[in-house]
Amino acid sequence: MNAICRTSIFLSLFLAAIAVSASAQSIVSVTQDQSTIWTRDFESPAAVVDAGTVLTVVGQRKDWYEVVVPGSDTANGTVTGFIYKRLVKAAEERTPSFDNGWQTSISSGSERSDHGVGLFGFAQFGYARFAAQNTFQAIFGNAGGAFFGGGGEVRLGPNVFVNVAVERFKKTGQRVVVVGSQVFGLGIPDTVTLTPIVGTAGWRFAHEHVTPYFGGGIGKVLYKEESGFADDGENIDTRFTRYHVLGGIEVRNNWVATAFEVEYARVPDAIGVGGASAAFDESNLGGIVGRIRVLIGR
Amino acid sequence: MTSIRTAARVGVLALAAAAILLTLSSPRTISAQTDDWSAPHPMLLTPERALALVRATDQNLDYVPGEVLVKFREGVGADGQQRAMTSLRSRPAPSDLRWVGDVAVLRDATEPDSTILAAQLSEQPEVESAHPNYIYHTSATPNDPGFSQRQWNLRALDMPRVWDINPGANDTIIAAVVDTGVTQVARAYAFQTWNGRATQTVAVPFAINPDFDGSRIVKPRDFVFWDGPVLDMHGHGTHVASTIGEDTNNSIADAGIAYKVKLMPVKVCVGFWEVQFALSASGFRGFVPANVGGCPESEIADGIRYAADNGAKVINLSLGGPEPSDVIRDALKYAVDKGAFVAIAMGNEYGDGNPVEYPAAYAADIDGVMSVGAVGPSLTRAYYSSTGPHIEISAPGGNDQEGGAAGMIWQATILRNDSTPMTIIAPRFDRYAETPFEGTSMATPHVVGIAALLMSQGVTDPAAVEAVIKKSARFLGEKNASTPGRNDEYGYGLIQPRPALRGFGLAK
Repeated sequence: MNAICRTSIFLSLFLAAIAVSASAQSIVSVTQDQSTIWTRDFESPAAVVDAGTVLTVVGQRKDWYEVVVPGSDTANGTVTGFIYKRLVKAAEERTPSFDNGWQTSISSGSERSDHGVGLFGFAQFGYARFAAQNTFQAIFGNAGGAFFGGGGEVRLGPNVFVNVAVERFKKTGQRVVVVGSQVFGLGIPDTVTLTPIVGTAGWRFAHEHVTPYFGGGIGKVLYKEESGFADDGENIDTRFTRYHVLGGIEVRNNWVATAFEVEYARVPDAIGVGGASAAFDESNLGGIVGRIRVLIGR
Repeated sequence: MTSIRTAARVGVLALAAAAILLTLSSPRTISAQTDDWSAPHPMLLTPERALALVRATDQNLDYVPGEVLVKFREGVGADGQQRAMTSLRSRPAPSDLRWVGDVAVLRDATEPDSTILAAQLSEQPEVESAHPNYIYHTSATPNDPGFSQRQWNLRALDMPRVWDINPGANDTIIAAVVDTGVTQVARAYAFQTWNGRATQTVAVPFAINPDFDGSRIVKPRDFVFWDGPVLDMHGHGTHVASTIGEDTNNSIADAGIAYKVKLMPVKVCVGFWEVQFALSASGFRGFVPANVGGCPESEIADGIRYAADNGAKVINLSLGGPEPSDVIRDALKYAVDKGAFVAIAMGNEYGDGNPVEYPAAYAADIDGVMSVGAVGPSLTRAYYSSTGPHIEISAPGGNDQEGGAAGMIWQATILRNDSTPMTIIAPRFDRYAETPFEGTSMATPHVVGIAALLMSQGVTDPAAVEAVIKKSARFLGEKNASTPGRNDEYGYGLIQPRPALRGFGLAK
């Protein structure tokens, strides 16, 4: 448990630091004269602006940026409206000025379309095909197994994402005798719990509805194996370093997105010294995972 | 009859006088002299064969005189067999042959020298091989001192914790004890014997070991004495069977390793009493040698095949001899093919030149058959335990040089004082006692018991049982670079039932 806490805290702080550093609002510059900023209910124009007007983006919805309507600053706050994304281009982040508080400078030639930061929470279900196929087949009668878990994700602009996930696999099989290719079940329960805690960074190819992405990361796998009639020292409670790469697509609808991804993970030299894994000469505790992830946030 | 060595008789005469007195006072004596005694079951140990065994003992022969095992070449039919046998003086017919697998047992009363018979037959083109019907012997040294600490052997194997995992196997497993027998009935039989002065008929009571639930004895078979119930008149087979599966947790006597298995007594060995009874019934006057008897090669092969054919999953062979035997080797392969694991005693001849003993020597080449050496309480090799490149595993067999009787293997068997040859005239085999034996005979049933536990746990392949036992053994002795993991003194080491039965987890 200490290992879980330490790893979680470390990764959380890491993500928080990234989020804080990227928490400044984005600004954009209008590219066409007579561009309309619509009221939040899209009933009427809130303002009409010309090319070069700098706008502060506070959010986005599909093809629209939510921006602060110029000249709307009042004692009660600001008024926001929506401008069509194609009517603006990215500008540099704001920097302090001497005369009017916040001033912007226009970026030169950048095609970045969004500097917004998104925060998401997610739950996920995965099914792993373990690399140590013979070993898992021998103990559990199946070379695969289900993982359940969840985590959090930070998006830096439309393309970069970083997330932390914790998931768990727990299954009870039986201890075995392995002789050559023969496996004999002994009927003695053997329960294995895998708890991967991983961080992933990746790149999203942002599109309107379906967004492909890929990434890679590192983490720890907490490995626990308990079996019947075991003495002190005969059960296992340890952890291993895990590496992975993944790719998938995300389908988004407002606040909710569903991602389908495939991950290849390696946990080298985790097993294979003793037990059935040694008999089969299999040392990698990783495998290929197919995963569904449901994200909530914006 | 006349060939019984005079010297042996001299030693017997003094005992005979005392025996007469015992006989006359015996309440179980039926008559002092009878001529109308008939065996209650057809005798397999005919007077001729009993006499042959006496002659073998008398002349220190390692085969049954007048018997030879013949293997004809493939495709040789009755005509060819007949032609080959015309080379013998008695001109036996093919119908006189008794078959053990593809090997024929031939008895020729006209030529007691089996080596001559074998040589004559071997020269015939129809014959692939022929050799005397060798006599093997049980590999134990009995001793009857007082009690001391018992069953250190089971503690050394951590059996209480093994039984936590597998409490004594189950009744789907049949363990065959191919040996001197395990008595299956509780009744008395009338036999004729010599009381030192005359032949007399005595009532000989038998009983089932009180530490065996009688329902656990299945498919007993006697191949050597008579076609009747199996009777142990020696105690060796019962001792071995007790190690394998003496009833446990019943507050009686000692514990056995696989105490829920069925036991199949297969009698292939005879000793003093069987030979004495058979010969006395034929009119023989006198005592046979105290150490007469043994286990004819042909009967051993028969017994192994019978056990395998009748569902035995583990077979104990606590016997051996210095002569190789193709017929036994073939029977071992047959048994393994039938799904039976076999453990064989290495032999107790280390101090007598450490000769290679058979059938143990075959074990290394047959997966599913293991040769077993013995260790004493210090878990070092017992002084008598034979060694060699064919030893595969070691198990407790006892060592009286380590604490006397306390260092031996204690199990329930027939009370030996009730049947001491030539001291007791009317023996009884209905009383049992915890008795110390030692030998590779005693080590072997430890391996068989563990194999029975493994079989009941799900390791049903004999070769896999052997592999697990080897892999889980605790290495003992000197390392040998040329044979990693084993040496010629202990094989793969001391059997370790707990790790064997726990098997493998995923990572450990």
